[in-house]
Amino acid sequence: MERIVFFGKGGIGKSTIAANLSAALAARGGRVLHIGCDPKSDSTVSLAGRQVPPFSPAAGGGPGSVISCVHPSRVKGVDCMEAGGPKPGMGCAGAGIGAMLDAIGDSGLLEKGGYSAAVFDVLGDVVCGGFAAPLRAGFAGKAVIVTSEESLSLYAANKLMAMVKNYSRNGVRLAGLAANLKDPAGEKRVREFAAAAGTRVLGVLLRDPAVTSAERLGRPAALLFPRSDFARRLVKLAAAIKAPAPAGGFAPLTDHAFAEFAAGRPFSGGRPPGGGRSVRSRPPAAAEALKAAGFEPAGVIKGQLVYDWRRGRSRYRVIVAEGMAARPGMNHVSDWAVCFHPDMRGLPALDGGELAAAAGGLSHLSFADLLACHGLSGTRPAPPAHLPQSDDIIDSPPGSGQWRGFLLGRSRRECAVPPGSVMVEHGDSDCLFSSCIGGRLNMFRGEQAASGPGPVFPKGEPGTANTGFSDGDAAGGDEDRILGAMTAAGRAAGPGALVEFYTGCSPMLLASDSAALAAEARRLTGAAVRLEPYNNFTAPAEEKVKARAAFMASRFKAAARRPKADVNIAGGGAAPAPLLRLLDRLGVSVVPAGADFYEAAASARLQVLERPDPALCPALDRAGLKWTVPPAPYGFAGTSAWAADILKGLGRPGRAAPSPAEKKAAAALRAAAAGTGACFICEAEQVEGLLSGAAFGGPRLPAALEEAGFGVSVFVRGEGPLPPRSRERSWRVVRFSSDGELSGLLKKTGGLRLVYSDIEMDRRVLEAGKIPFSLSVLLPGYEGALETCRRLLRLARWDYHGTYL
Amino acid sequence: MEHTFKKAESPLSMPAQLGIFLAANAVSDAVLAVDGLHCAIHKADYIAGNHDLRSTLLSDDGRHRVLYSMAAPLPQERDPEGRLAGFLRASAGSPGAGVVLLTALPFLKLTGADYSGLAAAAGERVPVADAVPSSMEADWLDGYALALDALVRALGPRKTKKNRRDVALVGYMYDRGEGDHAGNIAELGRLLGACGLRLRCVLPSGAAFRDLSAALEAGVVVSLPYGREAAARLASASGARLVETGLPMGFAGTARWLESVCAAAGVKPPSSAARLRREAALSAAPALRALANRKAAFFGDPWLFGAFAGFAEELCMTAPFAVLACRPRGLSLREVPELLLFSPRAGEAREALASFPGCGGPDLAVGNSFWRSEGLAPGLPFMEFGFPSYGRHALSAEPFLGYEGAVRLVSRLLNTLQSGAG
Repeated sequence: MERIVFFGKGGIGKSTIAANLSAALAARGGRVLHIGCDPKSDSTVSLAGRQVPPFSPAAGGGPGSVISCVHPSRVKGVDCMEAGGPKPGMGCAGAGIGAMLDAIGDSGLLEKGGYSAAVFDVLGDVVCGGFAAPLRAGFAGKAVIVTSEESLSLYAANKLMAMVKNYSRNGVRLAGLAANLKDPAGEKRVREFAAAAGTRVLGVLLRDPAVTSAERLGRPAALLFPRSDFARRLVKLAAAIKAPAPAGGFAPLTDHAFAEFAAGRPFSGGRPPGGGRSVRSRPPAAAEALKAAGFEPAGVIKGQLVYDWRRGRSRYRVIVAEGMAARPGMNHVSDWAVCFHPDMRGLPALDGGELAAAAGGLSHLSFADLLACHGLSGTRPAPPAHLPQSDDIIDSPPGSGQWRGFLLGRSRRECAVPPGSVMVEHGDSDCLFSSCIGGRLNMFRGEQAASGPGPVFPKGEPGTANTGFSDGDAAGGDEDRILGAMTAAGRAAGPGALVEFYTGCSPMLLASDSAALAAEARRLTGAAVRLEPYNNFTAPAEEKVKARAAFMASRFKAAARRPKADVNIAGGGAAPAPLLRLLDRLGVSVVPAGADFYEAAASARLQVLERPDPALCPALDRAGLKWTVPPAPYGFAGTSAWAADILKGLGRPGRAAPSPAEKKAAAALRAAAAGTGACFICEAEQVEGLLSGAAFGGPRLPAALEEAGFGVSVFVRGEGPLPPRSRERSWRVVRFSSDGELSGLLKKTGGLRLVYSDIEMDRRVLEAGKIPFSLSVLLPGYEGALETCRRLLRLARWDYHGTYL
Repeated sequence: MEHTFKKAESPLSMPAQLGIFLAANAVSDAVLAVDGLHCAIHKADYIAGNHDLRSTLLSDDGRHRVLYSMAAPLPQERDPEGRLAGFLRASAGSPGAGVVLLTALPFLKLTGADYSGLAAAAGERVPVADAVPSSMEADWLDGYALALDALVRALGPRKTKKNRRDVALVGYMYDRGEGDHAGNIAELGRLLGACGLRLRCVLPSGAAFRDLSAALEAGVVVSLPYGREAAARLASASGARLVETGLPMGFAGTARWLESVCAAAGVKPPSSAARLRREAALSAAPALRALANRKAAFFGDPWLFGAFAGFAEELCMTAPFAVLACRPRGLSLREVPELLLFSPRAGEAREALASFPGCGGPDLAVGNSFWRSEGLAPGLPFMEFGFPSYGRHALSAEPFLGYEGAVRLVSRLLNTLQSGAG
């Protein structure tokens, strides 16, 4: 079966040639499926005599839906199909073409339809992968590029050749060029170009009034005027296309070489007229450019390039990563990104903008050019494959001895989602399932399900929704869906309320005019509709934080009333029972759990927050509500400090202390814990987090363990400096540099039983014969401190794994 | 908070990627390479540690079987194919990788990337198979079937000497490495053995990729509903006989299934097979009094529902209310249910179920975890069954297929009715 695809610059005559070729192939007794891959749906007009209804991805799946989109033509032996597409300026036509070809592939139409040939006519401006879909495996076997002698047309042909070459892996061959000339003298130029690029001219067509007349009558010229010059030339072209296409061999010109060709100068790239191999344009003088900008190659670490960047008398270490491997915060330049090395000790502070500006001057260099300057040309390192992890851990490629920490990801900054606002995620069903409570990943992140087993349907909680972006939206435009979702959200939120509209990845590609739609939704509903990128509801982008703070402040003010209670445990849900009992002992009243978020805040004298929040704190300030973030209430000392902070905030005298019974129990537990070791494993830069509690989201866990009588060790990876105040503690600090060394340390350290890991039942710890523990053992308050100690002692004595596994 | 944003409540279904993750979970050395952002990875959480306590998709030391490329929609890349080729190299270089399953988030599919071509070009070190859903509307069952088909493609064609008594089950829903599926496989092996047949391979079954090639040596390929295309491809590649069946659930359902498989293998089920059926049915008999004339509401996948509805009939029960978490599919049911909804919104399902009050309504519910979390019919005795099951785990063999599985199911139904959960 012949499978031919036509490409070429817009308006060059592809559809005319393709339709006539289909007619010519059918005239020889074949059965042809002519497939228009152009949103204008005009490829088949001269065959069918009308516009045929296009394929619709929204029509549903199954072979039947594809067959229903195949239409007979007025030419015997030719069936027609059109991909169609959205209204101009909307949707994604490439997606529609891709969807149609997927449906054709899935249905087996080409194989089962009894066709001897399939002709794909692709629109001129191949701007995205959807238009290259006929080059995927199982569709086109030969590509024909239609061109005139004009430079822009040849330029497009050259680019299209590069595309065909790329897809040659799927068995597609370039049949050659079809010259559709404006001036017969231009044939020489097309042939020169073909020779330079190592391909051939399949046939030459000239301007012919027969074509114009036939088009007016809506018929293929080759059938209507079989004796015309056009028809004769088309027959020759068809024969040349049918002949076996050469395998490979062609070499599109580089941009530089094409420019020289177009200017009529002898050119150094491409295939010279006399034959020989293609020569790539000379790489830009990357090394010189780097040097001039002050960058000196200093090495490669884990696929990232390291440079010394001269600035005045200082040398700054900077890191360059390939764009896809760049971490958040890096400055993107060309297909690479740059940032300072984290260790800037001893160097004067420098604005990242200066580095970005200097690197911006190198935007003509690609990452491949930079690799070449490191002597890595042709040995491109495998880019890192990212592993599931918390946001702030850099991973190396799999299999290269990567280090996986024991303290994971609590440094992310988040801001409170205001109750009463509505968040709409404009995305597909995969977006909908982009978060999950519980499970192994969340064990790594310390975000275990708060309540019993059972998944929560993602984004099904009140105030959030997903729009269900679909194939139909991609192909036909999503503006109706956007406006519908914004309006529904605005009505649900109510006038003056906040609606955040997050555009996910798929609709982002469509670039619909969401701002205008948000304004319309605002007009219709009275709600403020804000546009946000991606679907990170809790990321604290500056403007979003401001909007949330303003909204919450307005709600706090609206709810303002005379305080009925002393404190409101805000943002953290219901307070744990031991803390409530402690507050009760101190005579501090608490807003009961379950009250409306804003009314609860307004009815208390003091808001007790778990952590500072960039939106909630200013909102409370603006509403005149007093708040505090007390130390985390873990351990006796931590609990006393927590209560003292609250009493101070309320302006009350007094101090909290454990009861005599609690003191007595603590002493007994301390005696039991004596000689039992617990350790934390971390990087040097995490030690500060151990001290402050930031590593655990607040609790000063090592201090609480020391207080409980455990011997605390800290195993620090690498040689990085430790914060001075770490020396004030009675910790034993031990350095290690490899997994093997760590394993030895864990096994040999006398008295060590407990090892902290955010990964519950961490096998690395169990395999060393120790017991992992995590924040899940921790309970707040004096009572909680005692129970925590009991739990730890129970764990320390536990030997299930040693006995059985 | 006062309001609920009901209007845009999401349909009760699961996306294709989740099915692909399930398939990767079911092949012990498969590396799932996801072209897309890190948010894709959270689908592993629906499986590892929540539904499947034995999952190896994620590992403590960071050598996970799910990788992502961090490809984003914007800014558009200059050389996405070069980037992807590197990603595939890195994925294939994962320690112990036996096969790489390549998939992509919908937005990357929209850009028209040639995933099949790149996968074919990348499979030098270990096979690389593309399982990229062609539609955003594809659901988890489509994704699972697509991934199984990709795995079979990666096995390649092989005409080997076959024993007609060797049977391969292709298209099995191995959604977790727990005792329910281990029990099913053991039970089906036992029953086939009783008929003089050998269960050569179950695709997938938690085994390594190379072990799946045993399926090419089977004389009979049994096509199960979760991977019809894969089964047809495998039979075509190996030249085995292909027989399409439903799930062997219940006493009669299992007997019919055995007959079909035996017929394809050219053997007659011995009388001992009938004896096994009778013995199992007798074991279940004490529960029948409690089960007869009870109505079950079902929530979950359509193939499980079809099999369950057939079994219910055998127990003098009915399953007239079905809420199916997938796009519409053709079901061959003996009786038209009173309620059949495909991926409705939760509110719609709740209202529909509530419209059968009192003795017209269900006596118990059988379904996946979302039944409870979405509160589809609060207060109804609930038997957690199917994917996902967060609240019910099987640390030892607890089959639900075959004769042994039928007895276990009867026990669970009975316990559900007696105690509210089973």
